[in-house]
Amino acid sequence: MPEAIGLVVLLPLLGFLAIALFGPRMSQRGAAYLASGAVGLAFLAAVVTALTPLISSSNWGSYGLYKYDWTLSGSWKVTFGLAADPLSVIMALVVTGVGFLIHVYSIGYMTELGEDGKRHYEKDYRRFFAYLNLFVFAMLLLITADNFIWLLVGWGNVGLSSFLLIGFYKNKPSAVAAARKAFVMNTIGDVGLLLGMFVVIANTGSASFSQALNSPNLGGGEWREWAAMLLLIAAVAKSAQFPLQTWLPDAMEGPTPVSALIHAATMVTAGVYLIVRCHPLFGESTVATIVVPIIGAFTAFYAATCALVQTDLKRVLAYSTMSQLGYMFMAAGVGAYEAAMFHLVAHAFFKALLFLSAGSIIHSLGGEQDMRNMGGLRKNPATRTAWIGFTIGALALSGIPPFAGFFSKEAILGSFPLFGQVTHHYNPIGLEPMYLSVIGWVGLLTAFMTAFYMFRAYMLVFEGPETRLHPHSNPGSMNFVLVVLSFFSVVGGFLAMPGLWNLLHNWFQPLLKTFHRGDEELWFPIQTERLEVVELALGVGAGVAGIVLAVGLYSLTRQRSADNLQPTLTSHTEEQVRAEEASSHSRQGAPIFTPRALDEAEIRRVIAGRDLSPTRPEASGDQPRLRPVLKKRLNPVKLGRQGLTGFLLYGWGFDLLYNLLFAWPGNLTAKFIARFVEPETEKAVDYGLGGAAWEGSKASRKTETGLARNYALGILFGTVALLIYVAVQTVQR
Amino acid sequence: MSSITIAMVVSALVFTIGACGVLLRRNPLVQFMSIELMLNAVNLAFISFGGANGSAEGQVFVLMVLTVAAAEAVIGLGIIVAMFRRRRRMDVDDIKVMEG
Repeated sequence: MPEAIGLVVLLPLLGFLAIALFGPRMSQRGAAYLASGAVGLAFLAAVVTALTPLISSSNWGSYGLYKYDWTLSGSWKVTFGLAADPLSVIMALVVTGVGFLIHVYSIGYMTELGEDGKRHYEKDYRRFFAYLNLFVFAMLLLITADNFIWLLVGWGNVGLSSFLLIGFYKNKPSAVAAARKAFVMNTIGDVGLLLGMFVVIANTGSASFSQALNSPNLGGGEWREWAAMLLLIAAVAKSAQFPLQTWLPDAMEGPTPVSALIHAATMVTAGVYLIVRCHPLFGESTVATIVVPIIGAFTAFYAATCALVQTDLKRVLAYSTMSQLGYMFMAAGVGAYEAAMFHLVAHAFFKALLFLSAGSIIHSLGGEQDMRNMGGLRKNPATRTAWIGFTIGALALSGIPPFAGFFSKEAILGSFPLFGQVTHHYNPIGLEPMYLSVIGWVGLLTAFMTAFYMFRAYMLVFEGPETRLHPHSNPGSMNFVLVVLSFFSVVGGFLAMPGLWNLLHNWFQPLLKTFHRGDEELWFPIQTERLEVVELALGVGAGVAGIVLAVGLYSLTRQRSADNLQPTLTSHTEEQVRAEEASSHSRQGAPIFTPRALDEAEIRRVIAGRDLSPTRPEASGDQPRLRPVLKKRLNPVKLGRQGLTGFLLYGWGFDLLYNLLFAWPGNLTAKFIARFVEPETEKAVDYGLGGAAWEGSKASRKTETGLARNYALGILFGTVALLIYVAVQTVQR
Repeated sequence: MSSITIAMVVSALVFTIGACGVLLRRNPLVQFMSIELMLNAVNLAFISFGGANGSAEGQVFVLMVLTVAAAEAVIGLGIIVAMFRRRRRMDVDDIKVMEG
C-alpha cells in the first residue's frame, strides 16, 4: 500500500505537535514514550509501504500521493505530493528504523544517575523528544516529497531541527556556537538548493521530480551543468563534504543520540540522497561527473587523516562519518548510485551502533569524552554491551567480512578500476580510466586509515590500563538498542555482494523505469558478473593492515603515552555542563534567561569563533589532573610531530582559514560601520525623519479647528468634488 | 417639464437650503432641523425615482431613512438638551475642544 507513506510522514509530526502543545501536562516518561511510539508506528507504516510490491505490483513507484494544489500563480502551480518509490521508501525505512531505536536509546540516555543512586530526568527532557520528532518529520518530508519545493521545505526544517538539537545544551557556549556554525553552513547549501531548483524549474516548467528530471528541455548544455553544480552545493553542505565540512565535528556538542541520529545515520545522508534522486541530472552532467568523485575522494581522505589524531571519542566518529560520506559521494559521482545507497544504509546501521556504543561509554563514565582518560573498559561488566557493539561497529567500518561495511565498501571500491582496466567498469562520459583508478586508490588508502583510527580508538578505550573513572551500568533499553543495531550491522551487508549477488537492483527497478529517458544508461548497478579477486583482497587487506598496525602500535609500543602528550580538543564534558546548569538553576531569584555560564568574556570568545581554544581551563578543580603536564623541551622531531598533530587535530586549519576569509572581514566591516557609519546615519535619521514629522504636524495641525461646521463644509466640498468627477467621467463616456 | 424634473428641482432646492442651514446657522436646533430638511430632500428624490421606475424600492428606502432619522432625533435632541443645561447658550462654535 503506497498510501501508507502518508502515515509515515504524519505520525512524527503529530508526536511533535502533541509534545509541543501539551508537553507541560505530560509526564516526562509519557512524552518520551509518545515520541518513540510515533516514530515506531511510522516505521511500521514504512514497512507496510515497502511491502507494496508483494501486495500489488502496479502501484509500486507511485508519485503524487495525497496530491493537492498548494500555491497557484497564474498557470503555474506548486503541488504537494508524496512519492512512494524505492528510493524514498528505503530512506524512510532507515530514518524511521534507526530513528526509532535512537528514540528508545534516548529514553535512558537523557537521564542521569543522581547521588541518591536513582535516575533523574535531564532538564528539558520533553523538549528533547519534541525536537527529535520534529527532526524525523522534517527528514521524512525531505525524502518523500515528490517535487523540489517540498524537498526544500523538508531540507530547511532538517537544518532547523539540527540547529536546535546541536544547541540543545543552550547554556553551553560552545554548543550554541556549534549550532550556529552548522546552521550557517547549511544555509549556504539551502541557497544552492534554491538556485538549482530555480534553474530546473525555469528550464522545464515543472518542479516535480518525475516531470522535471525526465523533461527533454533539461537536455545537455550549460543549464544542466549549472543546475548540477548548484544542487551539488546543497548536497555538499548537508553532507559535510569539502569545502563546507567544518560544521560536522563541532556538531558533536549535541547529546550523543543526536550525533547518532542526525550527524551520522540520517541527516547528513540527505546530500547523497539528493544526488541519487537527481541522478538523471547529475549523471549526464560532465562537470558533476568529474567534480563529485573528486570532492568525495578528497573529503574521505581529508577526514580520515583528521580522525587519526582526535582524542575526543565523538570527534573520531564525526570525522569517520565525513569520510564515509565521502565514499558515498565518490560512488554517486560516477553513477554507482546503487553502491552509494547500499553504503548509506549499511553505514546508517553501523555508524549509529558506533555512536550509541560511544554514548553508552560516555554516559557510564559520567560524561567523559576524552579517550585518553578511558582504557581497560573491555573487562568492565558495566560496559560489556558497549564493548561488543563498538567492536562490531569498528569491524564493520573497517570493512572486515562478514560485517555490513565490508560489502558496501567493496561495492563502492568495485566501481573504480584500480588498475586502469576499462571493461565492465562504469565510465559514463568516457573519463580517462587513470582518473577513476586514482580515486579508487585514494579510497583504498582511506580504508586503511579508517581501520587504523577505529582500532586506535578501540585500543584507547577498551584496552590498556584501566581508567581511574568508575563506570556505572546503563539502563537496559540502551543495551537493547545496541544489540539490535549490532544484529543489523552484521546482516545488513548481505543485500549485495559485488561479483556474486545483488538484491538491491531488483528493488530499484521501478525507479529506473520512471527516471530513464530513452535508452541512456545512467544507473550503474553493483556488478554481479565477475568477482574481482585482486581488488577484493586489496580492500580487505587495507582494513586488516590498519587494524594490525593500530593494535600493534598501541599494545607493543609507547604510543599510548605519546598520545597523552599531544594537544587536545575536548570541550567541556556533558557532566560539567549539567553541573553548571544545575548551579545556575538553583540560584534563587535569578532570571532563567541569563544563564551564569554566559559571562561576557566567553560570549566574546564565542563570537570571535575561538570557542574551541585548547587553553580552556580544566573545570572542577577538586578532581585530580588526569593529564601529565606538557614538558617544555625543544626537540625538532617532537615539535614537527606535534605540529602535524595539531594541524590534523584542527582539521587542516580550515576553521582558521574560514575565519580569516569570511568571519574576520565581516567583523571588521561591522566594527567599521559601528564606529563611523552608524552614528552619522543615526543622527541623520533622528533629526531628518523626526524633524520632518515635527514640522509637518505643526503645519497640518492648523486645519483641525474643532468646529463641527468646518468639518461639515469639508464633507460637502468632498462630496461635490466627487460628484463633479463622476459627472465628468459620465459625460466623457 | 415632466413631473420627475420638477420633483428633482424641488429636492435639490430643499437639499441646498438644508446644507446652507447646517453650515451657516450656529444654533444646534436649527442645524438639526436643516439636517432633517436634507434627509427629506433625499426622501423626495427616492420616491420620485421609484415612481418613475415603477418600483417600490424607493419607498422602502424612505421608510428606512425615516427610521434612522427618528433614532437620530432622539440622540441628537438628547445631546442638545444636555449641552443647553450645561452651558445655557446655544452656539455650536463654543464647542471646539478638538482644536489642534
